[in-house]
Amino acid sequence: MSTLINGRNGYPSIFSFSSNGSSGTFTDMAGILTIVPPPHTKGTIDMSNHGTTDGYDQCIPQGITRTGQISFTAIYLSTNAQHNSLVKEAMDNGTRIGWKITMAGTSSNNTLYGDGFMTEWTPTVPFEDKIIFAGAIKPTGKPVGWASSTTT
Amino acid sequence: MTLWIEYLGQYLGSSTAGIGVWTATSTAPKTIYLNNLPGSTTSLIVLYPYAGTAPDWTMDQASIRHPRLNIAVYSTSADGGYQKSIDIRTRLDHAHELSYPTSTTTTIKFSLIKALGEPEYLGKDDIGRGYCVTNYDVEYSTN
Repeated sequence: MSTLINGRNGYPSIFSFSSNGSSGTFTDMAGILTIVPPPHTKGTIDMSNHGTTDGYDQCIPQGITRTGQISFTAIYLSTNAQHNSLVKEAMDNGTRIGWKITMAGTSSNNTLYGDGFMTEWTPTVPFEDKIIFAGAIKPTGKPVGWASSTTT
Repeated sequence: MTLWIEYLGQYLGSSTAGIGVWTATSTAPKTIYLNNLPGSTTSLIVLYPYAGTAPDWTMDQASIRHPRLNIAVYSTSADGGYQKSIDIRTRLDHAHELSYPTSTTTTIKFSLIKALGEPEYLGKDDIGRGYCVTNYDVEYSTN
């Protein structure tokens, strides 16, 4: 039987941000609602040809593993420096930032982190709901994790 | 076998906020009950589990279960148990990663408990105690 007892609920997970790459100082972001870690994808190169056995296609993997965007949403806190300036400034200035995601649960294999660049900062001001903002980050380089601890 | 609801009774009883007594001692009578309102005139807490939602199944026959819990507070205090209900909500709402039993190998883990609303005051019973109820959503899995 599987050990679902080791399953994890998403709450309470943490999104951390560093305005100086992942070697800088991470600060946990307040008011986080959702975190979507980066997708990892790898393409393939079709090698099918007239000599292909049994008529089934053949392929080899491409060399590059692509990472997709990290996205997050948070309740906008106007007195929070990350919310009111640091995140947006990192995008305006093209600053290499650090990102870290710490999933809820026990400490084993729960941290993913790396470097990246801000690609989105989108506030939403609804008529009858809280003001939130969405951010997105394009990772650069290989993310580290899921790891049990970080060196940063 | 200990029922999941009995572990939550233990969890409430172990609160340092003095919510109530799950395991009676020579000096502290039991005040947290399961599915049973005793014939007593004192302030009491009763846990009533109810159906909840269908479990999350996996192909290997394990499941994550989602029962719900109704907690009734019967109180002789002037507020009819409202403050006690708030104290219970503070203890239970968003409690997570609770593993039991605590003294031996874990056999059940509550991954998350959520309040489904606020305490609701329902008036007084036939002996003049006020009572409040609050509902919770419980998520747990077992070994």
